[in-house]
Amino acid sequence: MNQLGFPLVSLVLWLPTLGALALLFVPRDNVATQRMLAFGVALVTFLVSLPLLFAFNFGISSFQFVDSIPWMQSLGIGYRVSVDGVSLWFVLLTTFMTPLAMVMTWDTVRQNFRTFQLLLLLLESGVIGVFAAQDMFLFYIFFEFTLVPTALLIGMYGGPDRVRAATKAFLYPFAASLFMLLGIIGIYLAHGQQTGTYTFDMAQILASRGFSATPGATGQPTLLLTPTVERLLFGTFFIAFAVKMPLWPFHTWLVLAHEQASSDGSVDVLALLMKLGGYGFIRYNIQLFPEVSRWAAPVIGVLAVIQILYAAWCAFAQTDIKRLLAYSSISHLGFAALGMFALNELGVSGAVFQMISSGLVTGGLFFAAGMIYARRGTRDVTELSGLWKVTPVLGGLTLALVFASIGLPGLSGFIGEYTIMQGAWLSTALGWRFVALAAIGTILAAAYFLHMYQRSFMGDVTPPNANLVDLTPREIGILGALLVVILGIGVYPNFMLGPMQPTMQQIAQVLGSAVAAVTP
Amino acid sequence: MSNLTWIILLIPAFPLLGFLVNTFFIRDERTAGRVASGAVILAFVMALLSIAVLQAQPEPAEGGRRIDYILWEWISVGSFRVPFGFLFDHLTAVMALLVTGVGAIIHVYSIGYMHGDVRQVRFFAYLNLFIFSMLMLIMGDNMLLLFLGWEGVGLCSFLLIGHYFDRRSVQPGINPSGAAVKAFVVNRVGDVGMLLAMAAIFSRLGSLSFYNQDPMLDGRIVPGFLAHVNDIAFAQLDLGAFGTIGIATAICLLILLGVTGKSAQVPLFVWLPDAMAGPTPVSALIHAATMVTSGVYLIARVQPLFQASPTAAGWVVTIGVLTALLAALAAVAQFDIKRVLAYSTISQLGYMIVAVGMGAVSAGMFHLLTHGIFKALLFLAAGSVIHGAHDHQDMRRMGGLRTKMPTTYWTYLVGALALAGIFPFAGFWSKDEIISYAWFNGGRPVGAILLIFASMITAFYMGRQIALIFFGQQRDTTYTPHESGQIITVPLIILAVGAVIGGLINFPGLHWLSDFLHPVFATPGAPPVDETYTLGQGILAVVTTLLAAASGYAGWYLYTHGAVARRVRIGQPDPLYRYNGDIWTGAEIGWGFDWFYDHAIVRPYRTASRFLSDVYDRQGIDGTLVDGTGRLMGRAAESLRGAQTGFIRNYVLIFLVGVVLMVGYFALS
Amino acid sequence: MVPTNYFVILSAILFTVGVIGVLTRRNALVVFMSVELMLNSANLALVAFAQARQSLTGQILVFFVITVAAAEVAVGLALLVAIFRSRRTLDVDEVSTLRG
Repeated sequence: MNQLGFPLVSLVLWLPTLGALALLFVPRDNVATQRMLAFGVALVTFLVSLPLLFAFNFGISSFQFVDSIPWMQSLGIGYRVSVDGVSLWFVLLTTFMTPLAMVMTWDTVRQNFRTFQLLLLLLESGVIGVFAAQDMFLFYIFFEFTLVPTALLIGMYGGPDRVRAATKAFLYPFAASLFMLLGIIGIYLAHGQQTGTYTFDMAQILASRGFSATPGATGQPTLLLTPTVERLLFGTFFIAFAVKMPLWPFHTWLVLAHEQASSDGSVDVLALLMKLGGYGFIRYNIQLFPEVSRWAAPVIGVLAVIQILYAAWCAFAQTDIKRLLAYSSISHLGFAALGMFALNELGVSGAVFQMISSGLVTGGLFFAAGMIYARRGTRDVTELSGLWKVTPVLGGLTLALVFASIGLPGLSGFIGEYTIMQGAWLSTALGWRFVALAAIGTILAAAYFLHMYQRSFMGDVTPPNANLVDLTPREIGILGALLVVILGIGVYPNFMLGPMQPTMQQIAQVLGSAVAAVTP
Repeated sequence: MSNLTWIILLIPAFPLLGFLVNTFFIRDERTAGRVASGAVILAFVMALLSIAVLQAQPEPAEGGRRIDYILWEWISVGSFRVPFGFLFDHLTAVMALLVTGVGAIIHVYSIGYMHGDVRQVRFFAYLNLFIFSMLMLIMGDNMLLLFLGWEGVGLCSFLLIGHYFDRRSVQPGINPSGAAVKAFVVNRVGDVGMLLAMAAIFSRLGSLSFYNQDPMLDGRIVPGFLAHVNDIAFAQLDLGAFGTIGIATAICLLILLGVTGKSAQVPLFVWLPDAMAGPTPVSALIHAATMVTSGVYLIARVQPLFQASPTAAGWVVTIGVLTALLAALAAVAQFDIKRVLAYSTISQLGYMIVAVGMGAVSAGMFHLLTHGIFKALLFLAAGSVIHGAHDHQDMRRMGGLRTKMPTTYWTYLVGALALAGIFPFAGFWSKDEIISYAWFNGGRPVGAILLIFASMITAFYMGRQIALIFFGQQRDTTYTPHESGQIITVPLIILAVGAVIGGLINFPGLHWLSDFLHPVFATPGAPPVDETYTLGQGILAVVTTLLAAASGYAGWYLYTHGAVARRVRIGQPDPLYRYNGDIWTGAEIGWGFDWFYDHAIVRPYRTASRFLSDVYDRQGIDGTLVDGTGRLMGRAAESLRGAQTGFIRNYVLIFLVGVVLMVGYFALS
Repeated sequence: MVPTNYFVILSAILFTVGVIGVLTRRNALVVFMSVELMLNSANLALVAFAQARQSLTGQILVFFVITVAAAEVAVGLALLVAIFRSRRTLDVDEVSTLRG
């Protein structure tokens, strides 16, 4: 049993699913009850997830709040869920964004509202499951499960090309994660053969690798892999997460999915921005295979730099705001990848911070794009003009989000970018050349975002844009809540970085010895 | 007294409060102006009180009183620890007085100037946010917090240049939203230099804090990097094919890149002339008196770094001299009243950069202060002229305003004389100090001569401007000029007094400012430098001022008397154009930097981005690689699907054959 | 006592008849009857072996087969009726929309 004596993580994990089941009993026509029920469940999930933060023991690096139930004992599969200093923030991000996304859908989804809410709740459960799963088998199940509601949400409620987008958003990551399944089975078998215990438990496997997360228990590694096997296993995980995250050049499905996903931004935020791939990189590739990570880091660093610049460059040419945001999110993730494979405490912390921040900031911008679409019926910047004058509140809030995304110090985006650059500079795997190129990305970010803002929000008001109404209090609430958090963790980032530290130090310690072993 | 150190927090707190109140609560235009002005005046008072508190601090052993107030740890990951702390020393004090003092005057002026304008509440909120950011810039006790202010003022600059974002163009033919974006993006180019410089400083010196910090909140001590600069004085960085470069030089050059962006130096000055799209008080406050000087402040603050790298210091001086000259020449060829002043600002910033580059920090700060006063005066007076001339900014439409707007005329004249460096106005003392330092102490006589030349051009274009605006006949008679009201003229008079007596603060022989700043820059324990005024310096000063006066008179005479003056017509090129031709055009367009960037960077970038996104990404990666894989699978399936005939008996037959084979296999094996 | 061989041979003959019926006939009803024939040939073999080995297992299995066959008849005939209603034919070659 865990430190609370209460299955809190499981509660957070399954509450949305229960809500989804409850939704089935609400009559199809009773939209008001459906709204309140779905939103209420999401809100309660968020409130229930807050104690995770308050009760979190900041002093230890291992998995906390572990709920462990034997499931398929003969195969070593258990229902094991928990959080540590890294996954805690991803879980909180998910539970925080879901109620906001729910509210966004109230005005935009006209048909099959109940199904939409139901799928969103299932999606939330799936995403939380990915972050909370401590058992690799469970992780794989949740990882694949998230694709189902995602594909359905895009395919049923998306834009004109939704079916193609949904197919691609399902098949591409799905095919890639099959490689990961091979990798998981590979580790499972290797572990079983060498130690005699067949298990999918991450904590146990890490301990066998000699990377124990429990302090003091760092014993001799009992699971030894040959370099070739290790690289192959690393590769299987890499393919899955590189597509999911996505890394350049595996990013195209994401752009199409963002473009076609429902206009209000709820699906973008919950399904596509949740950084499952980035989390997987830290949890599996880096934690399980530090030496291979060091070996692959320069190559991945090059990919990351290409990604930062390439995505920013592509974003400049976009006229659809959602496509632009998709490229912007890819560019942010390039920074995150650079930080992770800096393989030091600063870089990995910065990467986690950057992914959370990008989820909030880009998420907010997707909401803003949804609000524009709800008023104007288009997201094409060539048709928008002078919106700041017509809808000053929307303009002001969007501008704040834009600057957060550009990386204005004091808002969250800057903290991630700077710590990543500093980490990469100090890294023995990367070095200053990578940073010098990546830093150009910050210029390009300013260029494409402000170019977009100038064209759509500034300039004279053209007749079709003249009679738009400004934001409702509800919409102000959504963007306002996001901005408060963005400003909060921008001014006091230690709120997040502090609790992460023990886990990060543990990762950094393992990485440090691995890097020292590999570096000539 | 010494326990009152928290008072320094109030300096930025009031403008921040003003910003918040104006943003969220105030909807009434007059109240907004009063709240904003009140906040800045209070900040000014707090700055004065803080100086008193600072002087009451016990003198530490290593010299240099400073207050360092840490609120919380901003970022702390492993050994990377950056406090959210405020620094208040003598350098900060001087800057804070300028920012809040001139800021307060301009706020009050704005109440009158912006009366009847659009979006006033927002305007005042942004102004307060700017003052707050600027104070963060000068009060940050580490590079990262300084960078917060650095980017913050960039944000405010963006917002205020874009004040008329809903107009397609404002005088003289600038698109405000485009100018705002341009300002931010060009500044971003410089900021990359800052980012990389910070990363390099931390990785080599292990800290981003300027000075050793008192034990932080948890008792650990964060060292300051400026004290350890000598550790890297001889370290080299391998650049591969480009040879090697000293670490200190590399860091300084990166900082210099940031400075060229924010302080509008060659080659990144292009955003400043366009920044005149903002309202005139904004041009006075942000784009003349305060924000653009932050580069000077930065070089002054990290002076030990530049002292460790003579190469980089040489670059700084070169850039400064080049800027001073090019911008002064460009100012001659402008017709827009504000553009003249904009190029003049760039040119004067060049002087300051030269000064701090040579290590003459107090001279640089002296010029920064006097320039802040008289350039603010000039811009505000220009605003008064524009107001009186019914929003015309083209000097060809003015003329003879001397009699219609006497107060404005006299104050403008004082500002112009101060800018031109005529004895005994403020600009004379500060400019002379820089030139004479370059000649006698800095060992850069060529630079000094070029600066004297630039100073002559400065006097010339100011003479030309005075002549065009205030003398001769009114060339456009479609409007009746009038003098502005008291809320505009009183700030002008206050600033004019400052422009007259401003030289006193570092009067040769008295050098109060140098003494005041001394503890910040001097090596610990060294006595104040005894600057005796030599005869040579005196002669140089006399020569400089005479040359300036002569060329200023020439500029005035040329445009008030004779053939040249008569040929100034609305919409026609300047009479001097026919004698200079392309050179004149070059000066008019700011030496073609804009044209070059547009053709060499912006357009290729735009074209390439379309290609990258629509062809390479969509057809190449997505179309060929991703969908290609899908199509390959499709093809393979195509050839296999023939087996699915749709006739049951075929299936059954295959099934049977399979059964027979399997049974056979098991039976025979 | 009839030797088990005979039953097995009869069962094989019946099964072969069923297979040939499935493979050659085009009327769905006849195909269906052939399938039933194959099932019953298997039943015959099961019963024969059960008798020979004096074990009840085979007999029980036959009950299961008969039950399944009955269920299959119910579903299969329903399908045939449905096909006939929509297609007006019971020719299995006509019903080949699943062709690749």
